[in-house]
Amino acid sequence: MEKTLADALIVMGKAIGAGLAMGIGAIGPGIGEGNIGAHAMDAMARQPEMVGTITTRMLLADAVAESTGIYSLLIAFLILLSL
Amino acid sequence: MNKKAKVGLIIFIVVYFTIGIINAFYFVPKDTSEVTQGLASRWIVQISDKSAWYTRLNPLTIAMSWAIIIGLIIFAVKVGKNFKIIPDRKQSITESVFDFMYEIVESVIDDPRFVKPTFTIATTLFIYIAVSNILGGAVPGLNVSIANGSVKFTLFSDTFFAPTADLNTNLTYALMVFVISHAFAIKAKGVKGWLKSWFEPNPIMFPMNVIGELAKPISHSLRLFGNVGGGAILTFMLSYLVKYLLLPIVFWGFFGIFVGLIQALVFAMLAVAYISAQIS
Amino acid sequence: MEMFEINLTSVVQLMSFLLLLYILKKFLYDKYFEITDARKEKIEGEIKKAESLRKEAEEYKEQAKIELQKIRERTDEIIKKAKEEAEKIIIDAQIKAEDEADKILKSAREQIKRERAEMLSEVEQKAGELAIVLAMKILKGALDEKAKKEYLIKVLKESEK
Repeated sequence: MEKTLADALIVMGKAIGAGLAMGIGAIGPGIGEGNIGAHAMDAMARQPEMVGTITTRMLLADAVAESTGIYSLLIAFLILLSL
Repeated sequence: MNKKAKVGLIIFIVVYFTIGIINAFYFVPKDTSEVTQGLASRWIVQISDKSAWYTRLNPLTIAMSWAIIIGLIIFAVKVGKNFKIIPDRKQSITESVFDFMYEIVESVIDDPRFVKPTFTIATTLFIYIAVSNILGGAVPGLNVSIANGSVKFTLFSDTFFAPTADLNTNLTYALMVFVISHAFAIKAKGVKGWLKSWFEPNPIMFPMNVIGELAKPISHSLRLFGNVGGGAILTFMLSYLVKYLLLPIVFWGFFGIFVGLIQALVFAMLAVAYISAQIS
Repeated sequence: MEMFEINLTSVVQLMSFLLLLYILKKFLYDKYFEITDARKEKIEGEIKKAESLRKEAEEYKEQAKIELQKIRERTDEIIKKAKEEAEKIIIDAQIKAEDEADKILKSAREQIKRERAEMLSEVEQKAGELAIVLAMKILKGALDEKAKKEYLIKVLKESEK
């Protein structure tokens, strides 16, 4: 297969796009999960007898907050592998 | 751990490493691009000559989901046949899962008429998705890869394919939950009340309501699909990096058991929440 | 874009899911609901049973109390009766003793009276005899003054004895 400048540009665009998608997409879930974790810790320190319930709810909230990050991971894979 | 389990574990490890070594020496693609090119593709079979959405099938998804469903049915018949007041081991596991789900559903759904149907749907979703996610994330099994249009099977180079890693499954279930929630809303409030709920704060909000309702199944399905599909791709790439020899069980544990169970629970609970939001 | 393709698989998945739902409902959920209901009923029945047993025990306790009260009353009555009887007996005995004492006194007095009367009559008889003897002696006149006196004193002494 003859490598041309266009192919090289395509590969570069894919790499840059996937990197940006993953990198920027990870900011939001990072902040969100950090907030959730911090407040869960606060609540646990305030009410140590509720640790079980708070942990379950925290994991659920994490899973919901994480979903945008997962979308960006999916988009990054899509860009890298199938486009 | 008793003797039977020990013997089983030893047999499993021996078979696993033997097949891993065979895989590593004979079936590993020499070129990296050869591995990644089939990663985002699916094995799709066209039934007839005409290419339309209703003539194309994903055989792997159907096979895996039927395997899970048959396993669940066998378990259900086995456990359900001798359901007693004083439970044995299997029954108490089943009942603890049911109790957990029933408490959640009972606390979320206000109308006592809809508690049992909602519980039935949510628990079935939870069990099916949890089993599928764990199978797809933590159990080493058959890998099916598509390379240049031909299907290739590799043993123990990847985890099993989870039916929930296919968007067909997730979108179907999310749409089913959507339809069920609206059916319950019509049953609870009547057709007039249901139509009125679209113009809830004031009639100007009607388009927003429509968009919000349509966004529900899409985000609902894509969340699960992203988690399971992304986890599957990550697991596959990591197992390629270690040349299929020693699959990182920690990674499997995270993407299979932890994320899988939590996403199954999130899917079921979001279904309950959508139904509850519609009928109240 | 094969990852995002929607095709006939979705319909198959829906069918299989509905089948799974039906079978799980038939074999697990219905039995689970049944069992939980049965368990609830059993617990409620047990609670009711315990309640009824408690009530019965309370009734028995009440009955025992009443019985005890009755027994106490009866013993009180018996003791009272016994006391009364004892008092009666004591009084009877006193009266009897007094009567007897009276009787004894009376009889003793009567005896004394009788003896006195007897003695009196005896003394009278003797005095009469003496008087007759004296009179006969005086009448005889053959006695001197001195002998008379001695004799009189002697007789008197004898009679005094």
